Amino acid sequence: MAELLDRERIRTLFDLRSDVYASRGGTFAVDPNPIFRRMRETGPVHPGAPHEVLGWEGDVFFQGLPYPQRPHFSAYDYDSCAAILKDDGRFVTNVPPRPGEPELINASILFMDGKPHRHYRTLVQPSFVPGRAVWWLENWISQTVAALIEVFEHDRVVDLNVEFCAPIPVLTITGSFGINVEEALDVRAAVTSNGQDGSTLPRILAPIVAARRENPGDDLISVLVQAEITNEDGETQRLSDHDVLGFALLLLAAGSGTTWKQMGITLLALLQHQDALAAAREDQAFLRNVIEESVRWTPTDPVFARFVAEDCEFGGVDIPAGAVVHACLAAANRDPSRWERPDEFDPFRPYKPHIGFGHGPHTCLGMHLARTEMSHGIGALLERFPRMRLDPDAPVPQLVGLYERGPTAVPVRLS
Amino acid sequence: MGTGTCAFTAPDVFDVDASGRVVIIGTVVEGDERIREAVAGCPMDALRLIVSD
Repeated sequence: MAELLDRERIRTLFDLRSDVYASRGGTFAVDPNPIFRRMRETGPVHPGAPHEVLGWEGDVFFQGLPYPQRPHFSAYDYDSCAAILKDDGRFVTNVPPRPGEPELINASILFMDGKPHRHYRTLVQPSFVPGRAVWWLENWISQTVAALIEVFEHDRVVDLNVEFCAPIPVLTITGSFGINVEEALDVRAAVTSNGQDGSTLPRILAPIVAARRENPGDDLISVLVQAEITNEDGETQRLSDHDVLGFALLLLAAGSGTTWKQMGITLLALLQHQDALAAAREDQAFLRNVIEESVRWTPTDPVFARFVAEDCEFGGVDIPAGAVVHACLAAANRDPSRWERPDEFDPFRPYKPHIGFGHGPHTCLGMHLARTEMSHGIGALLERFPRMRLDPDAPVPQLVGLYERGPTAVPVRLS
Repeated sequence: MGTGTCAFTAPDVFDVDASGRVVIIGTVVEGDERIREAVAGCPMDALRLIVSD
């Protein structure tokens, strides 16, 4: 399985510094946290988008960006960010476009609010609750992890960011769709094309959707084609192919990139903290603490945005209707009013819920799947390579990226 | 909506059924900090902690 993946193509598709991520600030190499801290210390909400505060002058394409004609504001403390993400009446994900703005694709639950969002999300939520972890593990994750380890287990050094963290989520999610390994990277390239490639996923997925409508199986496309939604007239109907495609696009975009980067961040932090590494080797249940602390300390997606539905005063700032408000999760997760020594990666600290997976109705649908992929993947590495450590001869890895963050590499010696 | 945050925080106490509703599967022990965190961390504010005499 894993030998079918084109390693060079993975290096390009999963390198934050490559052209693929240019519009998300992939080459941004400054630690943003001291600046976020200064912003938080001078007030919960400020004018401007986070990249402006950080001095980034390149192109940006992310949720709530660029929208140059709209005023932008950003929140940096825990309470304000949680309130923005939770209040989907005042802070919405979709607004009518202004002249010159693209219309948001309403087929994705990312851009739905209120009841429609809840109706659609409820269709897939049961496949992503903690109790379904075994389903994901047994069907897709375990075999992917085992196959990837088999490819490099006899090497002396390996970059786990590319060879391990990147392929696991993309193969898991495409596998759950019934997409074969050879086409998995084509799909990944399409979903990171900023909308330029709208044909690859429909071409690959259409025959699978048709087949599952005829003969449902035990996979995610079968869940989607059998799901029923009740419209405003009380009529029950199956999801259309358009709806299924919208879900698939969301799951691929959100599920194949974020988990890669967060697993890289987690693995790197673990390998840089010998006490935590020893504790995880001693008892893999400790990986739960490691993963939660990693998502708190450095969430791979540090910012999510909403549009303001009506004029309001928020965080002491007057914000007009239609403005974009960016909830800076990365800053909120280091709010000293909630965590002691918030800038330290300390998986031994008592667990306290963070908002690294978001909050409110749009809380990350795949968060428990991501946790399962990370804990099983890292656990398998610790078990197979008991002497695994960072390669002292490799350049020191950095955490880079602006609106998507992750490590430049996770170079290790396996023995 | 059933995000399962509570089931993750205290898996021996909370679960999510097939319809997305939270169900209590274990005993809520007074003073269990995980319960407090599960309630506080619910993304939908769907849980309430009621302290009885």
